[in-house]
Amino acid sequence: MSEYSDKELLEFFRNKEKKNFAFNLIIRKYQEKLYWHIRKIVIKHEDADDVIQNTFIKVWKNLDNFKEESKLYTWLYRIATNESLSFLKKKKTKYFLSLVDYENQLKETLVGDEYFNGDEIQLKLQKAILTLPRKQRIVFNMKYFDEIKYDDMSEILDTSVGALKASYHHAVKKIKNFIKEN
Amino acid sequence: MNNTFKNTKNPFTVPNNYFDNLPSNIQNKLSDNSSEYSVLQKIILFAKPQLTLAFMIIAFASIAYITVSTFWNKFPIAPSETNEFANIDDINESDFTEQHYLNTLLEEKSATNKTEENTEEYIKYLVDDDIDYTTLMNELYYY
Repeated sequence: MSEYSDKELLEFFRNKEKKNFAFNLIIRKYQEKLYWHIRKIVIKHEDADDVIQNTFIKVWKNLDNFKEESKLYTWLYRIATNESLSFLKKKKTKYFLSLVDYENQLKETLVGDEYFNGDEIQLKLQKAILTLPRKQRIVFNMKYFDEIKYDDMSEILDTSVGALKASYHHAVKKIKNFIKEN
Repeated sequence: MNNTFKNTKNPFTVPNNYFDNLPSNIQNKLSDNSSEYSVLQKIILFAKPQLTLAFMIIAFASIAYITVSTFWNKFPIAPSETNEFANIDDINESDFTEQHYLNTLLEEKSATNKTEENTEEYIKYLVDDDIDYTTLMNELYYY
């Protein structure tokens, strides 16, 4: 894994001769974190693969304009989140479904998914998460699985810390209820 | 929330060596995108002279149209005088009798006589009231 800091990577990227090298290092540094973030939103591996590739293509096209007003990793997460949400919207339009219906379908696909090998409890948790409204689902995943700080999450999702805390609180409550009832 | 599910390992998996291959897959996709772009660039380069010519023709036609329409409005092709002449032309010569011509001549003569009478009256007034040229000019041009 890269030993370079984000600042060094950005400096390399701005140097024409090192641009490709720097981009490759950025991919290697962040690919797993971003992939799992995307995967928890779109659920299927094939979809997550598409989205992560599009995310890094966007990063390549826009990194020159990155002003370093935020951290590189929050900027990357933001692009990944937006790409995932756009992907879900496209799916919804393609199949003439509401987002809720599409996410209900995803719950069913989890069982037969060759790239899902969770046990019964994990399956139940994932199904419970898929019942949440889209934004609550993202907040819950980021807090519960990725343990991202609220401040960073606020930058990524462009939402106040208070609203994120409330969203997480509601999400936990709904998941508890779902597990009790099922 | 209690930690029933906390620290359980990620239930999702990926194909073998997925993350090893992802950077090269992304680079390939990027180069595909850029080659698509160069095809587009090639098309633009190929069509550039034709596009320039088309643009020039459109620009010339627009300028010509604007110029013609501006002058057309400023100087109408059929001015009112022509219309009047046209109206006269429309009247048949045989519509006039000898009496018509005589009346017209008499009207013109009486109009000339009236002007002459008026001129004489003005001169008489100026002489009678002893108004000299300077006073007259002052009255005419300063008021």
